[in-house]
Amino acid sequence: MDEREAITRLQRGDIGGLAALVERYQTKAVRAAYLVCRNRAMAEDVVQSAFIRVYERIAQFDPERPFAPWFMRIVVNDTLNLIQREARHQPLADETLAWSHPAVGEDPLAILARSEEIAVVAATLNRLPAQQRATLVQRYYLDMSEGEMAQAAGVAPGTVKWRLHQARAKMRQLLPAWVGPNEE
Amino acid sequence: MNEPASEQRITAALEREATSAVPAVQLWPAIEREITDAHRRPTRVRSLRLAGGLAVLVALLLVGGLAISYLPSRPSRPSRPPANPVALAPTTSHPLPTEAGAPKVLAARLVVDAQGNVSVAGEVGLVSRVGQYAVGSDYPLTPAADSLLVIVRDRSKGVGGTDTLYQVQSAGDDLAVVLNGQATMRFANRQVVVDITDSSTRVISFRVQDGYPTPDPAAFTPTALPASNQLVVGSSVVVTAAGLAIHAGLGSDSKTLGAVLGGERLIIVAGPSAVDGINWWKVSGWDVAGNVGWCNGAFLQRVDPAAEEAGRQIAVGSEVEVTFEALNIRQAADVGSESLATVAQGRRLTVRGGPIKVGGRNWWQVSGWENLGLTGWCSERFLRRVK
Repeated sequence: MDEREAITRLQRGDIGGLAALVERYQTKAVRAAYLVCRNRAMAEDVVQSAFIRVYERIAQFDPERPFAPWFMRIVVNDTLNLIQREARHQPLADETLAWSHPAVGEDPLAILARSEEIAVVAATLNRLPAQQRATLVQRYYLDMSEGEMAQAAGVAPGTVKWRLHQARAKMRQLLPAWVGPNEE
Repeated sequence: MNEPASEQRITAALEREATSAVPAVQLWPAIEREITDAHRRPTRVRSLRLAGGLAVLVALLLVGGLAISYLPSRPSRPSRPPANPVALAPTTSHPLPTEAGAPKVLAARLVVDAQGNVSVAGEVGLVSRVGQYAVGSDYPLTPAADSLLVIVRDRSKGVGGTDTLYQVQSAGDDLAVVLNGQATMRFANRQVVVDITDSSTRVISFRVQDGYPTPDPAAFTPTALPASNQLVVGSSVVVTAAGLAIHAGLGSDSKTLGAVLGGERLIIVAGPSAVDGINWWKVSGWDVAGNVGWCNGAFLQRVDPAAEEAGRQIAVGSEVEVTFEALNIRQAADVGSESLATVAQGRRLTVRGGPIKVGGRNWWQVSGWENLGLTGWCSERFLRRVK
């Protein structure tokens, strides 16, 4: 079932259409939310709620439009809103390592190397403000254009450019060897 | 337009981070129930999500062929922080705090086969595989009140060893771990660390006392840190991980000063200091300012000094780099000889002849300092072999 058919079926009340959308986008969405909030349980809750909102509001959605940007915008914005609401939220240091599930039989050296690389990136992300993480995730993980990001956040394109600049600068400051000093 | 390398690096790093943290997701069962629930409650989402997680866990166990006679009253997914709860206590046994209301049933029989896989022997418990990690990783997991976290640590592969984590929920009055291999165990915070250090077969068991497992003291020996890869202060080392964090102090929780990429060279200036089973070394060479910082020794490989020395030796045909800011190329191998040219630091030259020993130092005939193929002489102390 392709995306358009799934949306059409869902608009007719067939939740099989939603099942297809969940199957297609759940992993990417939870990963994006996790990168922003650094908490897997919270990420899953956000995405689950977002799919239920899709179900409730699908009648308003134009099936000619691509679903992913619309949905990912909901996910990122909901994640940021939830972080703001949960003032007690704190980054979960190194949670990444605890939840990695390498394939059975994988070269232990590869596991070692990846664990350390992940630890470096996780530690860096944990030090960024949520808004900067969201900016990086939208641009580099979800591959959204600056225009799409501006539309999603309801801000001017110049604001998005500035946020990206700040986020990259912070990454460069924290990870000079990864990001490089002269690239922009 | 080519995407800058830094942006590609950020994309790749985020992708890896996300994939590792969230290997798979299965939201549909919970979403379906949520939608079909006519009386939706605000707290429903989370409970259903957990129920879905339990269903996945049970399915995984069934696929693994494990017999289950006891199902926990709570989802078996481990709770999250506090971070770094695996304090690897050096003692072999110590009483653990009693949690109010915690079930006092902790029993299972585990079998670790020759491949390091763990399963339940007999129908006495529930074992769920949490994951596999590099030895020395932090596990911000605390087991549920009615379970243990068993860490099977395989160091038989040296620094390439891995930890495999299992959550064990059990019923009965004892827990036995059957290991294929010489093993040691340590206990802390209801976590059991099993070290496999050779390929012999051994059976280790322990019983529950006051709700917590107490090992047979004769069965356990203190675990020493592994040989630290022959690293010593002054060693030149190469980074074996794809990326390695440099910390201000000991331990992963210490402030990150920077990072180096795999293959880069560092110099060990102090260490080691063992923290949580990891040897930490103080290194320099990770930034141009010559600052020092601490890093995990598991990701450092000593460069063979003999091979490195051989690689440094200059010979006719070598390509060398000038290491002095203004090196004179002289007509003859002598500091009093006429200077033909002065070349800048970093300039590449080709060795054409020599060496001639003058005043205890080697001089080499070089070319490449101008375009006509002329040769001249310079002191070895200002040259570094690059090819």
